[in-house]
Amino acid sequence: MPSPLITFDNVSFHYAVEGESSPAARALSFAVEQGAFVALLGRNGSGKSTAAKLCNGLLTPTAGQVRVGGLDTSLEENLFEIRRRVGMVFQNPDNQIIAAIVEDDVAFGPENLCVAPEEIRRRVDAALAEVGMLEHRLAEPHKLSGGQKQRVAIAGVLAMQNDCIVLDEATAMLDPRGRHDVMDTVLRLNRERGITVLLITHFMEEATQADRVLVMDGGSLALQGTPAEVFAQPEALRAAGLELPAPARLAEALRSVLPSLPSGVLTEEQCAEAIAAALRKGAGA
Amino acid sequence: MIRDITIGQYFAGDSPLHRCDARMKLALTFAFMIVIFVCGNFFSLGLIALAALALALLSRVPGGMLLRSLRPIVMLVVFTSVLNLLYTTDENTHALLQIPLHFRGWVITVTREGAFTAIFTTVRILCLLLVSSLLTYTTTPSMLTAGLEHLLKPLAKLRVPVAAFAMMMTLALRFVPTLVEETDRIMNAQKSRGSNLETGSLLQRVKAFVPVLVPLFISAFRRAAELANAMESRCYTGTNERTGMKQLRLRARDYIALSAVLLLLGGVVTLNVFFGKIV
Ligand SMILES: Nc1ncnc2c1ncn2[C@@H]1O[C@H](COP(=O)(O)OP(=O)(O)O)[C@@H](O)[C@H]1O
Ligand SMILES: [Mg+2]
Repeated sequence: MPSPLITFDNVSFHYAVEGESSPAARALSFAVEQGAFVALLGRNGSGKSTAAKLCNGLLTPTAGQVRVGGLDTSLEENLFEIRRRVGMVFQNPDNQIIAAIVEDDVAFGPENLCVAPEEIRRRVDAALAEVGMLEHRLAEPHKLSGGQKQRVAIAGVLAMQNDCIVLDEATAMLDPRGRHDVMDTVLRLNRERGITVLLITHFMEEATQADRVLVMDGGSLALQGTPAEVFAQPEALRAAGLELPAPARLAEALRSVLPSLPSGVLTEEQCAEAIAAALRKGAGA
Repeated sequence: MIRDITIGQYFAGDSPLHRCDARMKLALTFAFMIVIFVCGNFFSLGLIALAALALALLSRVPGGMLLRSLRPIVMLVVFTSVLNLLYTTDENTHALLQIPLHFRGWVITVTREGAFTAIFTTVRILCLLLVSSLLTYTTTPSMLTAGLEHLLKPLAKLRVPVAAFAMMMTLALRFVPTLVEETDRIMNAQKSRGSNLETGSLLQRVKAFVPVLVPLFISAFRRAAELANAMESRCYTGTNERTGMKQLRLRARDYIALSAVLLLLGGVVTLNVFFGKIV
């Protein structure tokens, strides 16, 4: 049983201290296990970014407790270690790159951790190679594509040798190609390097690749389970303002003519196979 | 046109200038500027100009890029030259050229002294700009700020926040291109809605610029907030000790550069003494 890396224990959060603000997070309880790939879904304004910022102490809960590797995020003295362990990649690639040269940006985190210069150099090169950006190490960030910038941001997190990456809609501003490159990188880091991933997204297709899916609505957790479990509940998803992934929508639409199509079809391959199987069955009957 | 701004632009390369230590380059650029103002006759001025050109060649930065960095001040140079040409007149000057205007007997007099001052000012301004753009072309922004931070370190003892200042400079240099792009985008957006940014009286143009500035500022503040989050997420606290990936190290070539500039200073002073100062 893997130990939980991030735990939310009955966490609530209000932006305004006083006044009639509705909570951006209410009674959130969940855990992200070491090495897991968890997707967090939700419509705009459902509180996803708030949850992300609660993960590394950028925001601290109004009530309840967030712990990272056992450390409470509301204690100032824990923040350094928590942020070393949990790296963040934000939505807008332009607003998270700090230096005017790619490799200097990747070095920013380790420099803050007071790592020795030669070791920083080694980590920066390794991190850039890991995300496939080594040949762009001397490039100016504003000349890179969105997907490349996000991979630089991921390298910046990797160079800190953290355990976990939280990506807050990191693919939302990218073209399909850039999105694909970033998702590939993230999946590989999770599968091969054992890095824990909390992927916040509103692209359902990205969530189908996760081990576990959390769905937020109005600041609370509406659904959770494996992708197959969550995407087998189209009504509940629709109530939370979300659609099924395209292959699942297609399967659902085809069910009126092919009643034997199973539910829980998530990827394009599964969908194609399921349709082929249903057609064979129909022809056989 | 707004994209022509070249402040803090780096030209990636591997020339001897690129490989010099940033602290030395900063100090020597400053020294060179002083030498530019010390020179007092055409011989020393020529020496300075040759030295500046030699540096430009040594840097292997394409001439086009260098010219582009000089372009913004062409108007200034022309303007000061014309003023110098026309207004340097008193009893000790030697008229070179007199152009009678057939109006109230006015005569435009170009004096030798006026022409000298004009040439001097022009060459000085051009050299000044050339040398300072060579500094930014051949030094990465991070090395530039690291160098500046090092040179200003003594001030930290007087509680001047040198490290924070260096971080501010890093961020400013990083965001110049981003904000320039954004300004361009907003200007185009406003133009496509029919706002006229290029013609009209000064007041009208200033007024037309307000709808560009407001969104620019709003977006800059939003960027700043997001950037602060991103920096904090990467363990930046503003107060903690930091290390640097790139260490500054003085090598033989830095001392050679130092000697070259000292030699230049010596040469200029000698020429000044030898041929007298005329400006
Ligand atoms: N800085 C803020 N101040 C006040 N309210 C905020 C702030 N940021 C977000 N909110 C509100 O909190 C709610 C959740 O926002 P957010 O976590 O950004 O959602 P999501 O990332 O899912 O789109 C929204 O209703 C939003 O209006
Ligand atoms: Mg968000």
